[in-house]
Amino acid sequence: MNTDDEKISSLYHEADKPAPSKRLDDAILAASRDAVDTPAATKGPFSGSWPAAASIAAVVVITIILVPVLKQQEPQPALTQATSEKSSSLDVPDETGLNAYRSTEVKKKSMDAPSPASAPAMLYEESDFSAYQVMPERSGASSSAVTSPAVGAASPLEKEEMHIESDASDMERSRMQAADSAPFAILTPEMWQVKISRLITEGKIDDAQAEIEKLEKHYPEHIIDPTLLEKLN
Amino acid sequence: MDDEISDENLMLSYRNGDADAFEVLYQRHKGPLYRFILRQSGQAFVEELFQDIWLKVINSRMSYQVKATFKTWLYHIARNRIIDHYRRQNLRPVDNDSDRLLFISGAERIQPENQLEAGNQHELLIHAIAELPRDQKEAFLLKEEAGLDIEQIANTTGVSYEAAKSRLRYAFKKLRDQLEFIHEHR
Repeated sequence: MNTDDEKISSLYHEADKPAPSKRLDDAILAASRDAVDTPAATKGPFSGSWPAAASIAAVVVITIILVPVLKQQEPQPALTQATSEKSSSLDVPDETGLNAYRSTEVKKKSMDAPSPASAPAMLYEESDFSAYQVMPERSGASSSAVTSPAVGAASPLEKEEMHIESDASDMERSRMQAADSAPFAILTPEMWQVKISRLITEGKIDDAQAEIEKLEKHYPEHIIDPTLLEKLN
Repeated sequence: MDDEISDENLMLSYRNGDADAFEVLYQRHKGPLYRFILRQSGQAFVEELFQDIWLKVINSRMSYQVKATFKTWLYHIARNRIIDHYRRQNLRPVDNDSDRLLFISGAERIQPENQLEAGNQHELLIHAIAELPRDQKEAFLLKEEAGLDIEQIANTTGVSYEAAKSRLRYAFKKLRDQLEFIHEHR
């Protein structure tokens, strides 16, 4: 800064120096005292940092909402353990709910089945499920058999059998196909009869006869369809 | 309270609840800050802006950190508030007039008869300051009222050291030319 600038500076500072009024001073000083007096009593631990308070509130709300939902979706530990070993042999994605359902079904069917069949009943769990897994392929084979030109040349018995099958719902048909490959112990009498009918159609009379005997043995109170017996005779 | 306590320590004391510390700070800076505002905004708005700026200081006390001098922080707040004032009022600082004045002769800017009306050099200087371009006027007032050096002016106004130095140099030159012109025509 040269001397001319210093002259200007000194000239400026020699000029009048306006200042705020007393009223303005008092107002500002009063505000400064109010600010330090009031906040200590009114402000909480998160005052001045509302983002932190908002974050904590959000976490609490999300926890309250999600925990019950997750608990509902969480499988029963015993069922998971029981099914985890069995499902390991299956080459399908593990779905917890499905495994739990399967485990329940297996236990139920094991209890319903006659005692000699308890071992096969355990096998059913896998074979039944496997049957469901390959169902589209098997179903396709079955339907092609039903709708093939060979149908026209089928015997009346075959037509009757196919009629029974065609009337069954998709689910029932699937279960029949599953039963076809399943051990006998878990077959219902109706499914068993379908199997026997198929054996007769295929000309396996001896096998059909054996199945009739097994059916009578396991379901002594069940009345076998007379038409089946007629076919055997 | 002891005048030797630094502004920064006073502000930290006020942050911790010592209202007396604020009063010391206020007494130290109220005059220069008042004039810093007055020279830029005029008498009509000075009280409103002055109060707003100090309330901003009060309300910002909890977030105050000693990163720069208190004066730099105070005048940074003041500068932003003045700019905001111009924006809200849809006004422009004296730039318009000053720019216009650059294209007219010095004789037209301050007529000899006006010198007589002004009464003395002090008033002429204040009048000349009012006619400075806004950036130069701001730099001049930050130096003369706030007592900031060039580096602090640069920090407060957000420009480079060289730009702040240049603004200050032009401000003094214009004031000097103005006063010399007046002196020659007396």
